[in-house]
Amino acid sequence: MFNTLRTKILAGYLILILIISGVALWSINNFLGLSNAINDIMVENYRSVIAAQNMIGSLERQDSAELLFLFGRQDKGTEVYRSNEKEFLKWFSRAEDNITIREERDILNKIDKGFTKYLQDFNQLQIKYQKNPQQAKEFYLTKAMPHFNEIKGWCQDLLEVNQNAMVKAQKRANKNANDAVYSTAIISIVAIVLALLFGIYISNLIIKPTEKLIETVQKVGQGELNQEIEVKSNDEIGELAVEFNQMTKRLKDYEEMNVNKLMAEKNKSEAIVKSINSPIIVTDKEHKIVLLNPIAEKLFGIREEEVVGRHFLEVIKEEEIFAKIEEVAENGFIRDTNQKEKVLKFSYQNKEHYYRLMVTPVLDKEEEVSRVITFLDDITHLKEVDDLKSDFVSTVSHEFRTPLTSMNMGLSLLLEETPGEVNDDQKELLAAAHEDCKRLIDLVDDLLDLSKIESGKIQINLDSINLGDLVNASVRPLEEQAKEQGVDILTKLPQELPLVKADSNKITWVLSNLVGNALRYTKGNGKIEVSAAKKGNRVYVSVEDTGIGIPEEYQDKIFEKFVRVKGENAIDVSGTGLGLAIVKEIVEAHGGKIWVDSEVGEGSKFTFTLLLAG
Amino acid sequence: MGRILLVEDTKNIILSVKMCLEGAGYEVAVVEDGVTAVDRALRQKPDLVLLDILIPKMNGYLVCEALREDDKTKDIPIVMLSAKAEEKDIKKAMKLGADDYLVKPFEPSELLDKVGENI
Repeated sequence: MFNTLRTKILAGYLILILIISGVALWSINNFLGLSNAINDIMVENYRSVIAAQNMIGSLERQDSAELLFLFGRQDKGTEVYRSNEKEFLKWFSRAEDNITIREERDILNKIDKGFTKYLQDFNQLQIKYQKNPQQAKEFYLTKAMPHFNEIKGWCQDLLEVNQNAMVKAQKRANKNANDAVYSTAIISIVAIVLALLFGIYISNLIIKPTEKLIETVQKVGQGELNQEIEVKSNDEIGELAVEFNQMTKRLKDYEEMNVNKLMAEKNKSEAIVKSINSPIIVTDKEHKIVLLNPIAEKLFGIREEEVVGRHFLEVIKEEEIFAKIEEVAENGFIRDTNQKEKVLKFSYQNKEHYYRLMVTPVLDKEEEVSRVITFLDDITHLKEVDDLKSDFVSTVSHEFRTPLTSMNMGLSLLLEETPGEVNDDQKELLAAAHEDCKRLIDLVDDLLDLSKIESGKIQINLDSINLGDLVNASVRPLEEQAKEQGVDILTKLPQELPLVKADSNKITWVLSNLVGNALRYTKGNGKIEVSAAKKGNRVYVSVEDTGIGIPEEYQDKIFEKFVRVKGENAIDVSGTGLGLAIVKEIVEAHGGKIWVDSEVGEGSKFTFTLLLAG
Repeated sequence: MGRILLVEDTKNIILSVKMCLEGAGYEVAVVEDGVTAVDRALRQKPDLVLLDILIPKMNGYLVCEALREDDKTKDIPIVMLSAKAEEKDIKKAMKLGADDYLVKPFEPSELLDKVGENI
């Protein structure tokens, strides 16, 4: 019954209400006591006093009426006497009706008897007066007047008795009032103390377990999931504690489950990292090593247990790698995305290994770099394949050269009729064979060039170069061919064009190739314009023609190997299909870019950039 | 006109080169390996040697070096003929004393120009 918090609170209030009621009842009782005392004074005694006073008044006037009678005014005297007799009796009966004090009754009995005598005296006085007025006067003095004084004295007694009672009642009322003040004060104090005690008891009943609850909840909140609230009461707080304990338990189970899951995930990730066959190093914000896979251990000759927590440079003395890590850790990305991924060479286990360095940031919730993953992509195999390819291309092209030499020489000699005369049909066939032989020779040259550039074997020797010289050097050999085709080659170079950073042979080759292509695709009354302009720290070099143009779908592809534009507008031209691929490689090796703007039927504009010298 | 020693081991090339040079009026002697080439050059003192690099017994570089070392042959012009088209090969040949370098394949006109320039 008294288990719930509600009943506890209600019981507390009930007790307080009882205490308040007690105090109220006590106060009412005191008020009633006071009221009685006042009533005593007002009703009981005051009325008797008035009655006594009026009785004395009537009695005195009766006495005066007797004297009036004796002095000859019988009628008037009798009349006054009788009227005051009635008056006296009226007040007497009032006094009789209001007997409150014991003596009152005795006094009133005396007055009653005395007054009866006094009335008899007046009757005798009347008779005596008829006989002898002098005798009547004697009777008055000896009988009636003493009786009168006697009754008056009793009436005075009545008055005094009641006045004394009034004084007593007043004193009692005062005493009652004082008592009421004291007792009410004491009872109020007791009630307040009781109320306070109950208040404290009730609030403790609620607050003590609540405080305990709060303390435990706080601890749980801080992650101490093994906390349990001791349940003592069966009230709502007890219920809450039970629920809370269950919740904490579930939370603990859940957390354990999550921790297990996380651990499983962590183990999985680590297993993946460890099983990857390329070196991986994970560092934190302070460049301290967090994780290392076995391949990385082998490569740098370190052991994970010994290096975890130590600074990257302290353990791995590779400034180049560290510079990248630092950059990524600071910016969250590698700024210089233009630059091709750096290929690093390391030797271990008596073998050269090639790695492509890839540094990736791991961002946290606030988008800040929390970890940096350094991945050394093992491209040794690719490198080997690439080298093999280069070797192969190189060997093949060498092997091609020898038979091509005899074929070319033979065909040329036949065409020149060195061994003897050749007829026109034979000459035509020989010319066709000779042309294709030359195309094969070009292809072999280009293949070799491309393979050298791709494998990085070609050396770019950068000098400060006057672009004008290169343009002239590349255009001059083609001028005759252009004239034959009816094509004008214009060069538009600004007077104050600054020097560029370039390998003159390679860029001359690029320009020759671009102008040669333009000539190939421009027929009759066309125009080729070579121009250059400085923009920022680069020079933009353009070769623009009024040729057949390149369909949009080919514009991205033409820089790839062996891509030739096909379609109705395509001209059958002799090219190896490698020229633009080589051009692109050379331009990019210079740190530049190349692109084409073209419209079918309007012409094409190839533009490449070169860096300014110095 | 002049006597030319052609050091070359490929029959088909010998055929066309010999025909080309003889057509232009040169007297052409052919040897097919390095050792014979040095021997023949010492004995015949040709006006010009056309020297392939990849030849049996003794390669073109060594032949070139040997000819330059000997007083009797040190002034004979040497034009290297080779499928090796790389700059480093050409530089190496020049360093060893070759006067000129002709990359295979070539046109008859180019051959005749080189020979004419150096003889």
